[in-house]
Amino acid sequence: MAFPGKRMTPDAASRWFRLEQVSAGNVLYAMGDWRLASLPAIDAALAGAGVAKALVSEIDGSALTGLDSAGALALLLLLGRDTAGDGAAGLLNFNETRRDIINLVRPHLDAVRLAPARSQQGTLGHVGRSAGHVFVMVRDHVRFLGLTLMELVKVVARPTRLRTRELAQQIGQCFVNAIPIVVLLMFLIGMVLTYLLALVTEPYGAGLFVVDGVTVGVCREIAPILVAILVAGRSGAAFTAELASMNLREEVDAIAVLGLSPFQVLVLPRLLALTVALPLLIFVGDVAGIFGSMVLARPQLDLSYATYIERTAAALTPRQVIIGLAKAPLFAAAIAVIACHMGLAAPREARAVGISTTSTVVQSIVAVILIDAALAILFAKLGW
Amino acid sequence: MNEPALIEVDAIVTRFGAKVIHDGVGFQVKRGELVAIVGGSGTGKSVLLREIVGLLRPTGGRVRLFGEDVWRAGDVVLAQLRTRFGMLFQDGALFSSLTVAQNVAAPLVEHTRLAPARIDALARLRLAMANLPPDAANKMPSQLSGGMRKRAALARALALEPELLFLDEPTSGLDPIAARAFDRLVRSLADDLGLTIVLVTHDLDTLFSIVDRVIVLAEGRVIADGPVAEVRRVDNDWIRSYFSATAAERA
Repeated sequence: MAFPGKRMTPDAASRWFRLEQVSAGNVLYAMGDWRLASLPAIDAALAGAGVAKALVSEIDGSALTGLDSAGALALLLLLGRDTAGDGAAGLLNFNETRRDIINLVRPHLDAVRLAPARSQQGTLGHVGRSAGHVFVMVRDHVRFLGLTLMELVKVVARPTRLRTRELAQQIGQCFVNAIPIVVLLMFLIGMVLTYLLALVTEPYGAGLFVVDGVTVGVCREIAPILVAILVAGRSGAAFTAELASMNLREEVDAIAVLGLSPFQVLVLPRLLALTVALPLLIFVGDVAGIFGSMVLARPQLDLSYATYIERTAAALTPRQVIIGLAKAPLFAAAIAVIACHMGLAAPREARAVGISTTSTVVQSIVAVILIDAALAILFAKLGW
Repeated sequence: MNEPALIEVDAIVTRFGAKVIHDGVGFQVKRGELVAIVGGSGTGKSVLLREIVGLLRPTGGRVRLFGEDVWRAGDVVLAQLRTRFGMLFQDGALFSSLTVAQNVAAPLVEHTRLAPARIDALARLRLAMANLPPDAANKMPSQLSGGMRKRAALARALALEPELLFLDEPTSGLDPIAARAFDRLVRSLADDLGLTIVLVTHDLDTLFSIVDRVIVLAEGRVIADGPVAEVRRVDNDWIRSYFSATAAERA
């Protein structure tokens, strides 16, 4: 007999079960193959017939052709809470194998019924929590900076503690290997800026002042910022990934157990290397940018190389170059502290390496731009 | 009853470059058996397991699961086969971005059309059957101890009601108490759910306590295949030293 409607009637039935009303309550005659594969169809039939668990007091298994633990769970969840607890209560005509499966599932019903604890968190809560995280993170970065500086003082007091081999290796990584990409990047930026300024100054016949704009702009702002961002993505990400995976493999703990300071072995070489490397890279970037500009100025502005260099000598004062280079150690310290801290503080799981690395790059770039903006205001007020 | 074997491994040859790992490995596993594969380090036990489940192609030979040739089967057949067996990897291989419950639910979400509430209930059932406390469900894998991670991984391997289960070093990295508890759990799965289980192990206690049959790999071949009591009497240097490692303690 087919059961057409969605409303509960005393005798509901489908391919999977038949529900009969008796004096004590309802008896569900389970039929067919109650296994995981047919469970979606069974669920649909149960929902269609509106069988709520309170309605079923007994289940008859004589017409079952198959049962696995998923099917057994579905059956047991149909029974009322009070009958499901003990022995074979509420179950009729199950053969021995099926009874074994039922008995395997039955002890775990309480764990299954336990309502999942989902955290209720609105948008406001999320914003508040994130703000809190940012505050804690900045505070921890400052604390880490303090610890690093204290280790630095110890090393200054006894310079033999400086790990020269690691330092040299890091300088090789951060400076030497970064030169090609910095040269390429700044060469192209120099050209692009020249092209842009030529476009703007041409109507006024002020082509010569393009040289002023490009050389001062590159040396004072553009090379420092762009190279710092490049280094944040390159060395900063590398620091965090290295340290986080060392932490994951307990290498950092091994260093501490050997009686060495992880700060001296891992953090200081990276910090010092980046502090040395970044000004040098920015200087390389200055030269490459000006060179790129000079190469384009000849066809674009009809400026000979000699004229360009002459004008550069007049426009670009040492102060502009030094201001550009003087920012570099600050940028470098910010990047190194953020990167090393994120690496050492990363949780010990594979996923954290990726998350921390991404976070380092974002934080470093934000830090570099914030420092640059603060310095720009400072220099403007000082009239430099 | 003359049922064909669930697993038929036939003349497997594996070479990595010039290095020969397997040189004609063959055995069968029948439904309901609990079989252990043992052998020294580098005898290719884990490699063999990966070849059986279709992760690594052997240089030569044939693997049949449920009568299907794993390495000749098309993608559709292989995907179907893979819903019929579960695998527990050595360190659990839980997905680190999902909670424990989501890990167990993942195969159900992928392979069935069940409603979320039903999937959640089934995931909790599997976790409870693997002897994990209910509050472990919402934790991340990194928050679990090694033993609990293995249990959670076992719960995931059981999610789709497999007929066959592969365990790669199930007790390695566990303390003896947790290891014996895990052994009992594995044995009860074989007894209560009628699972066929193949495990790779170094653990002698596992062999003596729960395993029906032992297959010993050495020199690229199966050098012994039978119940533990028979295998330990086989006249072979490796087998002698392997079983004597704890013989003194046992005596």
